[in-house]
Amino acid sequence: MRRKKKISISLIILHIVMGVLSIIWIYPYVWLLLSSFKPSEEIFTRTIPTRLTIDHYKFILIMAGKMERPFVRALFNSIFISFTVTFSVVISSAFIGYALSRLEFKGRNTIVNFIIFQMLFPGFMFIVPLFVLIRALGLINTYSAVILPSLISAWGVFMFTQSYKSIPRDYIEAAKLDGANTFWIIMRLMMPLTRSTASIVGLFTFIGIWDNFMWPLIVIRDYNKMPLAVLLASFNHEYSSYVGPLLAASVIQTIPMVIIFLILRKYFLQGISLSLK
Amino acid sequence: MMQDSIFWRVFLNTMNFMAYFIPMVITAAFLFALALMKVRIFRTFFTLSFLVAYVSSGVGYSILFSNLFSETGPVNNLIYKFTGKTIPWFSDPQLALFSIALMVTWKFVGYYGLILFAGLQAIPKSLYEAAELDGANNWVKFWKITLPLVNPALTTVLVFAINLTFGIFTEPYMITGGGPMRRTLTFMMYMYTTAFQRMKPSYASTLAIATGLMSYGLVVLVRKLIEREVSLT
Repeated sequence: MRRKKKISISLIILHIVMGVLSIIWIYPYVWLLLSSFKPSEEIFTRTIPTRLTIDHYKFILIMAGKMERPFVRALFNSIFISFTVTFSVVISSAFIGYALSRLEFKGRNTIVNFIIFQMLFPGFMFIVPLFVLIRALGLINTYSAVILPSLISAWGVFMFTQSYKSIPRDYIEAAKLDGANTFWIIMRLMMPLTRSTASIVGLFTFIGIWDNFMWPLIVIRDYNKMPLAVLLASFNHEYSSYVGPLLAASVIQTIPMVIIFLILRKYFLQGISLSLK
Repeated sequence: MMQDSIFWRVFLNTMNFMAYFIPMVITAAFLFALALMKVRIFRTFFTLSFLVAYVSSGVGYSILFSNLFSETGPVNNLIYKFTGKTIPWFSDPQLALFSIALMVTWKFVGYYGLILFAGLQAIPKSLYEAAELDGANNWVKFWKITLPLVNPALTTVLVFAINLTFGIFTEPYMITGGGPMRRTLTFMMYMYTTAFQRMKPSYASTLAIATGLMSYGLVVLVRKLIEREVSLT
């Protein structure tokens, strides 16, 4: 009886400690969100503001545009780039993954091994050669410079190859007997059966490309073509005293990812445990 | 490159960062994973509140933390109330690197903790029950069962953390710009400034290869030293 009581007390303490820590972990977000609605003079002086204002958002979305820092455009640039890349990565990975796991052709294993091998190299090793290539193609300062290098993802191909292996060959044979071609098999049979893989690949690609900072910083110099992250960084560099608008812009950059994460958390958690294997 | 004093400064910074970051994040992630195993209620809430840090965008959270920890920011206000002093988080040469390690830890504890949690969950309960019958206490159970069996997950987390250390760019670029006194200059920042501001792409490529080899060598070393085959038969 005594033993049982002791355990329950330590359990209660554990829950309280975890609860406090969780709140500390969320606190930066709460502070960010709250501060972006505070009047400028209260950001650092009051925890609870006397009144809420949307001046900072107005400033960043309307005034900054007149200062040739077009945040609305940057937001759409980011959305456009992220959606294009995500769409392309999911589709190309689905097709390449099918070829590598279900089609028989010469040199298949070599290609699979090569894809795994090149995943070992950290991305930063290719930045200079990639820049030289993009410049030679005359693509500096275009959307293509940001989009092109990310169109195909070795990790995505690998994920699809792994998940296709669990689909019985009979399904494909049956579809072929019904007269389906390869395109139809992938789009209507394989993709729906591996919906969670597609979601994981799409989600992580989207968050990764939205957060991508160094590469667009290198290849985009034109304020009108900058994704949100780069424009925000340059705004921070030049107008670091505009704390309120900066925080509002940070909200615009970060909160969409938080919302996507909260909606698709199931796939996110699956993705984390899959990356262990 | 061997005679480049900035290169060695960056090398020391990276080692210094690793000495702060890796013990901090591994310990915190492990405690988080162990606590999550014990927790009965609100498990989803705890998981999500730690994991939500992981999806924060690099630029946004750098701006957020540079304000949160600024001279007049809420963290320093709190410290001032209790001690009468403020801490120069990002302007003191030695402290700046530690502060960056601290905010990166904030971001990654949930993610690494969940990887470890998945590893912990894979350990069969029967092992602990058998150990209890043999009279093992919690300490022995942790060192003889938990730690050896969670080894693959632990290795994964360590490799992730090493790769992250060598690839860190956004946080020092946004917050300190490599300063004060080049103490937060990282390999990625040095590479970036060499290639695109000082226009020496070939030297930047040399740096990239050297950095790649270093991180790869360290990963191989870690796997040699701590990775053990785990079989549950």
